[in-house]
Amino acid sequence: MKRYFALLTFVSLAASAAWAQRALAPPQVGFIQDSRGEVRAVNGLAGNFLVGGAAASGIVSSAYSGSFGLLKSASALMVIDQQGRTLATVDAPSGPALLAFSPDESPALAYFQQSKALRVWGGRAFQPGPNVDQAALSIAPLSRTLGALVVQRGDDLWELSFELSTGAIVSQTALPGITSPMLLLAGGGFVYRDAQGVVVRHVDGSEKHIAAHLPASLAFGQMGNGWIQVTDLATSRLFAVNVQPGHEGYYILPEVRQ
Amino acid sequence: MIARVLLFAALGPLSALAQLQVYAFDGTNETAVGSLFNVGAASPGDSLTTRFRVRNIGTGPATLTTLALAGSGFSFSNVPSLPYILAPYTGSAVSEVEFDVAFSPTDVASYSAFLQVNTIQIILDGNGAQAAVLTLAGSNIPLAAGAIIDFGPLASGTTKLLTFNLSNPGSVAVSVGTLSVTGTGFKGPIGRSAPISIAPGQTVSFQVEFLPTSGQAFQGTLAVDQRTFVLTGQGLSPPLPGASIVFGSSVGQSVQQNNVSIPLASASQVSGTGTLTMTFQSSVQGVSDDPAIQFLSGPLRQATVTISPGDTTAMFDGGQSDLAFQTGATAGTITFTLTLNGNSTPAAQASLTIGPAPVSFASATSIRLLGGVIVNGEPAGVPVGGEVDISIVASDNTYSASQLAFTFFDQSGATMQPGVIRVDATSDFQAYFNSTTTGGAFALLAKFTVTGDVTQIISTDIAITNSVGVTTTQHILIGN
Repeated sequence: MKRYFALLTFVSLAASAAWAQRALAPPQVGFIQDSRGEVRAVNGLAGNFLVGGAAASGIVSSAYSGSFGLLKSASALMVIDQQGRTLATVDAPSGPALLAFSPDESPALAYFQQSKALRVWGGRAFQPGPNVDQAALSIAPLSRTLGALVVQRGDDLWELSFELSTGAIVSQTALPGITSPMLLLAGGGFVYRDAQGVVVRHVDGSEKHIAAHLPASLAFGQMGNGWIQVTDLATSRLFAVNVQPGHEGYYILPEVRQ
Repeated sequence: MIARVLLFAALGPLSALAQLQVYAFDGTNETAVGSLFNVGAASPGDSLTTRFRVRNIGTGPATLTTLALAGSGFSFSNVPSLPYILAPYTGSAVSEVEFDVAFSPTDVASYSAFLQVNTIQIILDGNGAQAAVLTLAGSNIPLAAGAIIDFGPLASGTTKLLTFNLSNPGSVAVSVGTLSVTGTGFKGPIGRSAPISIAPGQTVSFQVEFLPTSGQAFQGTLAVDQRTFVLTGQGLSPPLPGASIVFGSSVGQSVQQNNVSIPLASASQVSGTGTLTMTFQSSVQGVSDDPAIQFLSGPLRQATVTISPGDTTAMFDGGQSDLAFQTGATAGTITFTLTLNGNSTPAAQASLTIGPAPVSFASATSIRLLGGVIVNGEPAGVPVGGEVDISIVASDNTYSASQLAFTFFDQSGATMQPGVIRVDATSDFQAYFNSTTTGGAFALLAKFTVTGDVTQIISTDIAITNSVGVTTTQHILIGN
């Protein structure tokens, strides 16, 4: 067998058109959605956040993968880039949506909670997905062909995997001891709350507890790569949870100032 | 002492011919005054005022030219300027004029005086009646009705007692039917209650308490039968207790979320408001500020604090006992200054010094991009050539990052050729820090081309140098 030895050569820190980003730039944590339905960029790093101006308004649901975001307005589903610029738009039914990304960011899913219909973002265009006749609490793509969703059955949560092409359920797994709100993570696993704070359950079943004084009533959302937005539903205050392995932490986001 | 009595002859005919008529007015009712008028009785040392009105009851204008009073114990206390023209009275106050006569007996005796209004002559008489004499304990000076008794300034929440004496200097017993204290901030009488009978030569005492509840002026009334005395006192706000500024963490570091609280030296007795202001003095040359240094709620660098009675900690908006803030990513000193109740002199001040530090990594990731022919999204054939991209998120609170060093390792942990790859990024960092508004935080993307089998590259070490030192990551596994 012929062996090819590797030799590395530094290219540069200069701008790369292919990556469409500068070699040195302000670090971006992601995008948050505030109580007024405005989506704002969050720059900086853990414990050192800067909240930018509104990149979009009239948004009812949003999520950001780290390199692109999905925004749901009253009547449209949009894709935005890192600068908040709209890349694609498609009509969408009214009401909120659950939005999720795969680890390699393709596909991304939008689940319209009122119609229970799916839209799949393949990286270039939206494709209509099947109707999933389940009242999903969280969704996630598992692969190019499978998705997952979490539903409430009695007192328990169940994770269902389904075919992205047909919506057919292919497996069901109970999540004993887990209560809503919870959020499926890109790449598997999920986050939920317990009495001490936030818990990250990894794909292998191991858990990481992140101490936090969580608000009584909250919602989770993905605000960046490895970053979860926590919204206090009573006060609209926003918090951030870093769920990246080895960097877990709970932070207060600066108040959105007009 | 025998009071003088003035007698005048032929009083009746003059008043009948005059155009003017004199009335006595008690505040509610008025009575036409004849040639003799009794003003009533007053205690020695007290004063009894009678209001008189002069009205033109004729059909043509009249002029008041004479207003005279003669007699011990009587005096004018309010007279108009003369001459005073009076139009015929039509029911309007503008066609009448008022003056007051005060009766101030100095003894228990009968008093009289002669009052002349133009040609109208009236004999006034009054009685100096036996009554208890009110004095402040320690003083022999009788207090006249209407006298002001000032308790002086007193801290709110504390009390002050004044002792009063009621004495009977006469030869027959006197009684006090009413003894009362009214008005917010005053309490009494303490030690005595009406009715009180005072034998000749005897003295009884009682107390009145002043207990201000706030830093304002208070006024009340002490009533002894018909006589009233004005009670006054000035409440003083006690000072706010001493305050200090305490940080959740006293360690001054960049890229931290900390919190600040303001404990008080003791429970506050009073209310207060204040402002906690955050300022930043950068120690990085050419850098004046870091916008990430801010309170995490409310205005960026100014917080309102309130103190209520009983509080042992000043409270921030929303009833929080502490307030979170960020330390930013720039070396320097963050100073917190507390001012209270509009006083420009700081009530407390504390600083966090953020020392210059080596570059701090928040994250470092590396991915391998395969070269060669791609079929259906997967590399086909041998993985020859490709690219390794390294992404770093870090902060440099000195803004002096310069040298980068990358070392790549194979599966066995051996360093790959060409060994440590050093990059002088000084100008890149300076250009970035000169343009950024996000402090010393940065995201760096370094790209490497690979000649040969890119899959042999397993991990990398990254080192970044700044003016403080060198920071090196541990092995970072390279992902796909």
